[in-house]
Amino acid sequence: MNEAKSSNEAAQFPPPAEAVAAIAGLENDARIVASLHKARNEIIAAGAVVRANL
Amino acid sequence: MSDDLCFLSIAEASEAIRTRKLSPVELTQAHLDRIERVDHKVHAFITITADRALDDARRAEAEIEAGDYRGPMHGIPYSLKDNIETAGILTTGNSRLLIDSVPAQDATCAALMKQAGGVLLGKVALREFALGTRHEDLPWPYPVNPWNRGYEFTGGSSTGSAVAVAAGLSMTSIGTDTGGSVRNPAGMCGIAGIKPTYGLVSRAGVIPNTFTLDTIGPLARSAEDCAIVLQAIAAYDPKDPGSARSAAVDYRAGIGLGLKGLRIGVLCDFHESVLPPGTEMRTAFDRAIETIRDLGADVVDAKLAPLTDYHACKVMLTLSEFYAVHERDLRERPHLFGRKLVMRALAGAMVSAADYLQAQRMRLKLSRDMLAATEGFDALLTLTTFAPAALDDPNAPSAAVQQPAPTMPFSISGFPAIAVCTGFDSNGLPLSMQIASRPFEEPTCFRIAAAYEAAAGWIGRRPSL
Repeated sequence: MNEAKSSNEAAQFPPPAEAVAAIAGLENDARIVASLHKARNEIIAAGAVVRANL
Repeated sequence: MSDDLCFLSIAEASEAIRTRKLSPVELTQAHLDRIERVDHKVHAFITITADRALDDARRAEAEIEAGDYRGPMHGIPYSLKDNIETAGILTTGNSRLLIDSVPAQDATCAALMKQAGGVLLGKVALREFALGTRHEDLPWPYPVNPWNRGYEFTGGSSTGSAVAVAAGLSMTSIGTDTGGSVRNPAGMCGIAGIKPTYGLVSRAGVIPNTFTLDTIGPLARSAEDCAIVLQAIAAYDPKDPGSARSAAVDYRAGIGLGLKGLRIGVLCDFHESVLPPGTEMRTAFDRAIETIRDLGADVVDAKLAPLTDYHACKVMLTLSEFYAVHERDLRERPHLFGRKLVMRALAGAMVSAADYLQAQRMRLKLSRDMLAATEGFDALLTLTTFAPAALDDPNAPSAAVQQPAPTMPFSISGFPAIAVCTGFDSNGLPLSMQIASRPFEEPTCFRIAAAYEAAAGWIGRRPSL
C-alpha cells in the first residue's frame, strides 16, 4: 500500500510539497512544508494563466 | 559642511571636481565620516573599503591635477550591491554560503566604474541572493528606512543601495533588478533608480538571480545622476551572452529639453482595482500626472496586458532559473540559506520544463504586445509600488512566491523604467512612480524624470538621522 501510494505521489506533477522539502532534508519541517503547499497551488495557478495566453 | 558635501548631486560634485573647487579626497572623507556616524542606524553596508576609497580618491585627485580628467564619475564616491563581484573584496550575496568569498576578478560593471575614476566606498546589503525577503537569521542586520526608522521595510532586493544613497552615505550605488529590485527600494527610500533595457549593462561577474531577466542599474538621488552613472556602465560585453550591441548614446541629451511634443500613456489598469481613490500613493500619482501635463506633454490613457499575466510569467521564470543556480547548495548545504529564501527557492523544483518553456514563449508574446501597444508613445507612467514602506511583522508568513507588482511588466518585456519620488505620506515615507520607455530609449526616461523632478521639487530633501 505504502509503495503504491509512494508511486502515485512520484507520478504527481507538480510533485508533493513533502517530496520537494525532502530535497533539502526538510520534510519534517511543518512551516517549510506548509509554505511549499501554498507555492504549489500558486505555481499551478500561474501555469494556467501562462497556458491560457498561448 | 561635511554633511552638505554628502548631499551634493553627482552633477554638482563632478563639476566642482572638474574645475578643482572640490577635492575627491575631501568628498570621500566626508562620506567615510558620515558612514561611521550614521551607518549603525540604518545598516546599509556589509563591507566598508575605507583604505581603497582613500587610495582611489588620491589617485583621482592626482590625475585631475595632471590634466587627465576622465569624466563626471571621476572622484565620485559610490557603492556596489554585494552580489557584484569585486577583486580582492568580500562579495557575499548577503548569504552565509559566501560569507568568506573573495573573488579574483571584478564584475564588468565594477571594472567600468573603476575605469571611470569612481571611488569605491564599499559593498552594500541586499536581500539574500536578490530573492530572499526581510531576514532575521543572517549574519548582517537588515537595513532600515532612513525616512522613518520605525519602518524596517525598505523594499528590495537592492535594499542597502537605496538606504545608502537616501541616507547620504553614497552618492550612487549600483544595484540589480530582475522584477523590480532597483525600482522598488528606490521608490520606498525616496530616490531615483533605473532598470535599463535588458542587455544594456553587462551582468558578467554578477551572481545571477534569473538570467533571462536580470539587469544592472544605478540608484541615485536624481534622474540626472542616474544618467551620469549609466553612461559609465552601459557597454557591450562579450562575457555576457545577453549583452546588446547598441549605438553610443548621451543619456543626458534630453535633460532640459522640456516635455512639449511628447505623448505619454498612463497605465491606470494596474492600480485601479488595488488602490481605492484617496489613497496617498494614488493621490500623489494623480498629482504627478497633472504636473507632467502642465509641463506640456500630451498625457493620455494607455493599456497593456493584465498585471497577472506578467506576474504568472515572472513566477515561472524566476522560480525555475533561481532553483537551477542554487540546486546543488539546496541539496547539500540547505542550512546555510536563510529560512525564508529556502521556502522560495525550493518551490522552483515544482516547475516543469514544459511550464518554463511556455513561460518563455509567453514572455516573447508579452514583449511583442508591449512593443505594439506603445507604438506612438514616448513613455508610459505607472506606480512603482502599490504602497509605501510598511511596518514589518517578522512573524507574518512569508509569501511563497512574489506578489504581482507594477515593476514586473517592464522586466518581462525588457523595457527601461525609472522610479522617481512623487512625495511623502503622512508617516513621512516616500511615494513613487515609474516612467518607462521603449527599448534603448533611456534618454527619454531621463528627460521626463528630470523635468518632473525639477517641477515637483521633492529631490533635495534629507532624512533626519
